[in-house]
Amino acid sequence: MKKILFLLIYTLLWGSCLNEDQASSVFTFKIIAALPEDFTLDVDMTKISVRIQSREKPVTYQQFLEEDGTALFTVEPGRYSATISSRTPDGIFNGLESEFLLTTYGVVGADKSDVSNSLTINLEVAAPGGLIFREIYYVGSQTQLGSNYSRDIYVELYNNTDQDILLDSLCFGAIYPANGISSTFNWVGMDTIAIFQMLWMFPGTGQDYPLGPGESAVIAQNAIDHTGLCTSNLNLSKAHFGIYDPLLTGHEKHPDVPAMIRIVDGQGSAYSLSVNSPAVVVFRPAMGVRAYLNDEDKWLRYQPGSTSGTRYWHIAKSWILDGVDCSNGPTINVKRFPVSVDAGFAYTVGSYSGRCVRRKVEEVLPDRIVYQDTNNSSEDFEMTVIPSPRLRP
Amino acid sequence: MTTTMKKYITGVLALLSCSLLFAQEPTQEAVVPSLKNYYTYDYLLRSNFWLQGNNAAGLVFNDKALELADAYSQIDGTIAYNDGPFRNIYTSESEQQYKLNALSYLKFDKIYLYGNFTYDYNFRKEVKWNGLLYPTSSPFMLADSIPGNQAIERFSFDAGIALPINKYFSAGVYMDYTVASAAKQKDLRNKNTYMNLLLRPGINFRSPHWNLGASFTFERTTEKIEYSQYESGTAKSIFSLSGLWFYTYDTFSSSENRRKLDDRIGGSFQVEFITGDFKYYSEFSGFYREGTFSETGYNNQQYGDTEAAAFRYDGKISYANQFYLTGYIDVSTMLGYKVIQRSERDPNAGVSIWITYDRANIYVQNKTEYGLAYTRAKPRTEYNNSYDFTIGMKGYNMESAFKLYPLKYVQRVEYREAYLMFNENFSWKSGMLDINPGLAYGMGSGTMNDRKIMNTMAATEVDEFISALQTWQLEPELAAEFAFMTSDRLNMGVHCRYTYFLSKSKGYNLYGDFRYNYVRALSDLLKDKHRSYFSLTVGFSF
Repeated sequence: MKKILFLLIYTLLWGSCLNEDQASSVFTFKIIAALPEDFTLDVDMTKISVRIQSREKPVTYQQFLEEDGTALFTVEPGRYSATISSRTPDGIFNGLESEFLLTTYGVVGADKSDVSNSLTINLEVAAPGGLIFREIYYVGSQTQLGSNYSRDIYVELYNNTDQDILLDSLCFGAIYPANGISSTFNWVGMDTIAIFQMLWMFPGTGQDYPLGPGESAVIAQNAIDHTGLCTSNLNLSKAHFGIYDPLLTGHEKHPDVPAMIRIVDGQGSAYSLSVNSPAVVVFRPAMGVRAYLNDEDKWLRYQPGSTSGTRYWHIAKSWILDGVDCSNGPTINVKRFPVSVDAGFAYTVGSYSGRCVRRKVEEVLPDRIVYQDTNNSSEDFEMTVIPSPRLRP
Repeated sequence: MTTTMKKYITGVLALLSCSLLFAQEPTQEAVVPSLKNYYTYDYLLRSNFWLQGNNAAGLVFNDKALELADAYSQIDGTIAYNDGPFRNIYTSESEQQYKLNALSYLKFDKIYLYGNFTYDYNFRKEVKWNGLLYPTSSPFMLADSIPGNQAIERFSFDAGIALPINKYFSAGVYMDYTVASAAKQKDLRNKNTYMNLLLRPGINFRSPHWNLGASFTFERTTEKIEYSQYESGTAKSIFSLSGLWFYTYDTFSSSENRRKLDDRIGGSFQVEFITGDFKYYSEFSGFYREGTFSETGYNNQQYGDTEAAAFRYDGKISYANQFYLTGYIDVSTMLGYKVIQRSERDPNAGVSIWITYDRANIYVQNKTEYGLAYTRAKPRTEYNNSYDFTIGMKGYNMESAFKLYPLKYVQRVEYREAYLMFNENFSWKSGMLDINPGLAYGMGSGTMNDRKIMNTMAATEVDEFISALQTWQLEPELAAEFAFMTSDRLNMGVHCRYTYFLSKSKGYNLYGDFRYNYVRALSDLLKDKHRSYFSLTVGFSF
């Protein structure tokens, strides 16, 4: 009753004086970038940028670190991710805090009582990669009658170096979970990465499929001519490889296109990337594919905390040549790759929109194009663009 | 509020409304029976200013109005239609309305009662962006852009009771209960279920010259919004709006639901001074409203909070039933907050729920509404006028701002309207005819989307920020809404009512009421666009 009376009096006296609270709209806090303890080289921290991205709105705040490895941000309270990603002469530096909560009174840690004015991000250092994903087309398009069509999806690998890369026996797949919007990702922060569904290997005996500098290899889910079948009108009969196994249903391939080899059966009778948010990976097991597959005890695992149910093949993150976390929009989803592989997200807006993500050009040399590769797909990729795979002539 | 309670309230109010509607005519002989035929609802409102206020205890001042008979009731049905391209973004291309209304003021011994029941069914063609039944009531809305037909059904029960406690004091209470449902009939389809409950107890003090009153208001409004898609061949987008058409969107999957909950409390006090034929009534009101826009499930995810406060003054002066001066001013502020939440796993329940830590203000709307009108009437009898005319003006200033640090987008709208209405009453032995033409001219102006920088940033960073944000503001919709609000306009209409004296001894009337209104835009993007409205009402008063 007292509360009601108070509110009544308050309302009558000050009802019209409800003021916007300027102060509560922003908060200033510090990002601290921490180099690995065993990293002894001097690093020019002012060359490294930090990006704060809202997880609720499509906005980012970005600035470079100070010499002491810190940066001050003044932003609206909310849920954010913080990404540090830069390629400098000292190496590729990546760090990620996939989600933190900023209030009007501080940064709230995992423990509610842990409130501070700063956030520390541990950096990982990596060397630039050679084989990279150039285009990833995963959202599909539509038939001429307006129905959804996802048979035309593909990924394009690219040799970003000045040396040949042998594709023979490299492995390709998508990591778990299939969609980045899953809220039940139990393998966060683990030392290995789980593969979703099936795993595919490039054919060849060891020297059959060299990829020259500046050359591409397109892997199509259905390596056929889709012209007239859908709005993307892609002629993937000119793809370099096709996802194909006669034991699977719903897959087609032009006879001239070599088939990828299914090395892990997975579940289901067909293979498809998520049309929403796959995380694709290309890797080479350190011990060789045969030895890897023979070591089920080590690499085939149940979900954490389970001793039954589905088992998933795992790979070591050090085997990964390239991996890209894809999403369905600028709002950040579950982070599946460690930041040393991909500190960001590439996204295509609109399911079945016929759009893809494409890596940005960093430099055009006389004999080849060098694409941007900072292991941060948020920076490295152009989002929601029209597919232009570099197919066979 | 539980379903059982809703049913209980509905039942009680329906019974009350019906009992008022079918109340027996008092047995005592009316003093001047034929004069009751001149009664109209407008007369009641004119004779007792308290009826337009917030204090049900003021029903006791109906003693003057009900001196001829202890009851005035009317029951009528209305069909209405409006269409035309001069419309706000939320308004349908055309709208049909069917309405039934029953209203009664009566007196049982010393108890004064009021009851009103309304049922209306609206069919709107080509509606879009109508995620809420009242889209401007909150900056937060889930909506879709695809036009489709929408059906709305609304039941409203409104009742009041007042009882003199002694010679000086009276007590009363108003209660209003409205339920509505709306359904869009094209993907994406939103089904809205709406409920409003208002309770307003009050007391007053009466003396020969001064009447004073105070009342308290509690109001709860809930609305459940459920989106679905029937056809699955194409991907549709659903938009989450958060003020000045800033949005985020998702490709619609299987369902998307929200719940809007508003609680409003407030108080009013009334002062009336009467001396001779002079009467001056004032009401001062203050309201405070808190609202949430959240998911319908139990994970506690909230998409925005609102907080609003309003102060209102209503003043009415009359002299000898011939001169009336009325005015009002309403100053209000509405704030929209982003709710700072994090999804955390409850180790005991084994599920993730959203935990609220804080909130941040992202939207502000300041609005001032005002109006002033002068009416000169020439009474034929004490209960109706031979003619009257009203000259008046009304308008509002509104400033809305959406903030995303370091930017602030501000919209200002000013609208003023002058109007003139004239009513001529022709009276015969068997009935009377009222012809009431009106004319209004409105002028609007403002700035649509001023951008302010709240803090210094490097110029390039600001440019990047602005560029990123521009993608997330629906500028065509913002421009369409702004054009409607600020367009100059000419509004013309006529209202005719024929009243047939069915029984002079009992004061029974049959009436037919016709209204036509035409509004034409005179400036800006909507120039020469128009919209017309007509309605036909047939009723019985007794």
